[in-house]
Amino acid sequence: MKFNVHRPLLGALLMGAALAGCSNEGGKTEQTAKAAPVPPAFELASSPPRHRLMSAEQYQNTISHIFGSDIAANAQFAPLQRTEGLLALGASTAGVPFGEMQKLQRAAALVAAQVVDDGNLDLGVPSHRDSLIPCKPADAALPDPACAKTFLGMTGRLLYRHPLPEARLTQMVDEAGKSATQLKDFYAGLASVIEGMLISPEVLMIHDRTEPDPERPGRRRLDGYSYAARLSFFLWNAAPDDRVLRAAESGELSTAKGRERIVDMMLASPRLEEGVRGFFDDMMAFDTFNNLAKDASAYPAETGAALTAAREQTLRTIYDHLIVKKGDYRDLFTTRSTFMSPELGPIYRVPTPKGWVKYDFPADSPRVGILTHVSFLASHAHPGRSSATRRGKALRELLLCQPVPLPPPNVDFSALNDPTSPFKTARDRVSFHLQNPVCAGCHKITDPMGLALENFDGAGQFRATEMGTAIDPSGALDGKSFKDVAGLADSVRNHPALPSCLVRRVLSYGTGSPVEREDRPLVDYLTGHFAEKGYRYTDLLREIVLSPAFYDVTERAPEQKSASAAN
Amino acid sequence: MITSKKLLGGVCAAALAFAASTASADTANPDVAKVDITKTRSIAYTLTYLNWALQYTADAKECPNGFNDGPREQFKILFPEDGTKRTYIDTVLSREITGFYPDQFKEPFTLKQAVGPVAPGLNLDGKVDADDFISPAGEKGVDNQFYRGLGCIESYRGPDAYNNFYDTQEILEGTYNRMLFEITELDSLQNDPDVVVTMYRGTHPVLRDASGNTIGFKGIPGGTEKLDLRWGKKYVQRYKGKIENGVLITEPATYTFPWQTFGTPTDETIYQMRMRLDLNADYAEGLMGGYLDFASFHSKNMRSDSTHHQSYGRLPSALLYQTLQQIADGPVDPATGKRNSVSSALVSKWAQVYIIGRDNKTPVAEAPAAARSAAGER
Repeated sequence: MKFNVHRPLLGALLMGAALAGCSNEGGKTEQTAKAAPVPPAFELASSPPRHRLMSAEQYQNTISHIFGSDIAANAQFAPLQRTEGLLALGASTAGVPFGEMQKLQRAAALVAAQVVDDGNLDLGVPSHRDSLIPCKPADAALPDPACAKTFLGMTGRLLYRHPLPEARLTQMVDEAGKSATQLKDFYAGLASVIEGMLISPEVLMIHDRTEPDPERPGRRRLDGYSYAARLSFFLWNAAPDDRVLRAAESGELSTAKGRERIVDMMLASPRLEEGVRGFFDDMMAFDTFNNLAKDASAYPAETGAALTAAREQTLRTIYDHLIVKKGDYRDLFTTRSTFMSPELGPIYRVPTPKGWVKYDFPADSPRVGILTHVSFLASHAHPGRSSATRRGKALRELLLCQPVPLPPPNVDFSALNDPTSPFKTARDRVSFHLQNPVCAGCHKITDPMGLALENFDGAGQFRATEMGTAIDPSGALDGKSFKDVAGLADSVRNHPALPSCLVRRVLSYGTGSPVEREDRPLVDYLTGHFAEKGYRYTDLLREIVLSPAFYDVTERAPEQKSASAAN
Repeated sequence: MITSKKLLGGVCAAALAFAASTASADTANPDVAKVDITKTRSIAYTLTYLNWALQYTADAKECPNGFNDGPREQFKILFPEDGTKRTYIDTVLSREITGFYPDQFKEPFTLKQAVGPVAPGLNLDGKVDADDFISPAGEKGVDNQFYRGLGCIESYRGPDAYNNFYDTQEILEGTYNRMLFEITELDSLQNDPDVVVTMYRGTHPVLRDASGNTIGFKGIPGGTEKLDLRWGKKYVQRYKGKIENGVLITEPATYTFPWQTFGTPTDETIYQMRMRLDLNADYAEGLMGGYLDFASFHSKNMRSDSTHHQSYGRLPSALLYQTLQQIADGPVDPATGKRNSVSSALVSKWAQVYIIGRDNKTPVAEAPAAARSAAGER
């Protein structure tokens, strides 16, 4: 991300920070003076302003929040490019091609039609217009500028994430009036404008606007609305609601106290679940499930419904552990508590009633932590067999932020793929493969931990044997050896890169910018605080969204350039 | 290959192909962990396939006189289009009445029975009688007189017979026929001299594989079933049994079970029913033999199949009933002095399931006095 800490300017910026503290009220100034030294890495960090494409989930969530969860959006967005481990970073470089815009327009038209529909009480379908439009036209067959202005102003503010300028609102009211006249239907006129709003680049793209930071002369920060949007898309995976926008309008988000109040409100909201699920779905690369399929002859129980449930199982486990139980993030990798559904029962071989129920794997179960969930095991395996390499690579890259080099283009996989191979287990095949020194280099950093998961086949089903031969699940991770998957789980839980990787990913996801080498002091600082707080996820979220790295931007104000030039 | 191979081996190529397609694997995946019976001392299975055990060959050698006529053919013989003026009552309704009251009217036809020495089934009476069959595996004394009646009726001749298809569809897609059995007091799936087998009705459909198939009518093991202890209370029946070399054998006792076809719910009763099923942790498969209460079978055909459906399968229901009366070899009902049942066998397939919603106080249904009497039981 380059959370810019411009070293040549460090002294000047520190002075600026001190001055900002001095400009506060007396009592608070004293408190600031007595507080621990402000770490430069934290206080001086910033991130570049971004122009990001909203995700399909964010679009759906936003529609649901504004118009109600019974309004189906069904918007299809092109897949994003995973960048630095996150799809969210790919959103900064994504566009909307013409073909995709056609699909979005169809979705927008359907949403607009649902918003203004009159329902059918005979069919038990309620009238959306009666509940969503706060006024009624004098004549439903004619334009009603006053009513249109009320509704479009209210809706536009939520969709555009800031109040519509008067001229723009007037233009929309006029457009609604023209359509209403032509169609002889006030509501059809409104629908045409809503449809236009829903495909507006200003709605689909999350654009960061900046302003000078009065508390830090010479620096710039996100303006209140952009901060509100960044907060909301991060914490709720949706556009900000009326309360957050009001805080932006009132200037509350421009004060530390105001930011804290709003952030605490957002962290306590049920909508946080969408934000947590959105982040971990991205971090765990669960988009793989969008087109994951298993060989039905090899894994007959691994149905499409089971794979969908596998993704849901892990997301439910994460939310329950981190938010509901306020658990230690690291314990996600050793917890035996999870959720179970009938689709997963035949794979885990456990009885399951209808719906989702809490489930604890027995203490002697080989299922320990989310690495032993079907989601991780099946998505990092081949369609018809397991893969120690893919699992080890995923563990390194997704959870420890340690990139694994791509294999050379001419790699010889014959020993692994030969169906007549004399090797019974994956360990045997991998060992043979590693006789090739070209391959050995990378496999040594992926396979030792991946082999510890070999007790689970490519569908994530437990097996004690492979082709009738007992599986040896021993392994090692960065110098720590273990004899089975429980040992792997402990090693991952206590790996120093585990929490720092989460910090990197959360920081990147929230700001839309990759963390770079220069940002290490900031990551170290946040990781240290994360540890001090017992690795509680909400504390990490709170710290990040209230940090300058989240709301300050790297653009420098013209006057600072002048000052630098003068020096 | 499990029981089906032992019991059905030796039948014709068509039948073998069927057996192979329906019992192609012992377990879903031998490497994948199964239910741990050492902890539960129990295992349960859900029904995935049920059809009468018949001997049929591709060239129908067992039917030297051909296949039987159905209601349409019988109607044409009885009422040819020869210009005779007939009333609706004397023709159509008369035939319907004959079907529903087969004890009151004598059918003017003779059923073409299956012949030959070989038929699948079990030796129910422990004797080797002159009219007994030899099983495809060579076991003598097989009691399956029901095969003589059904063997030359097209709608029962597998593997893709009309009745087989719809019966199987009801089992796989519906829940009315959701029969379960649970083995308790279980120490080994290989050998256990004393186990308890309890029959239940469940509420969930059979699990299918990732392609939507049932893997040769075997389904996917590892599903979960909830017991139907309300409407299905009457189907809770308990038997003593044993396991020898991986084969479950139960002691004979009356078994009443739900058998819905074409959406019409009915019950079927088999007296002195005993199971002989090959077991493993994923599947159970094999024969259930006993004396079929053919009145319940006939009633099922009339109520669910109707003349319309019987015509498609050329099933002469009243004639079959009257023939079964003649060849009945079940116990004499002391109340009537007649034999109301005929030796029979069912081919069954079951997939392992977990049972939830169990109530340890679940009452076990006792066979009605009339049924016990008919079965010669006290």
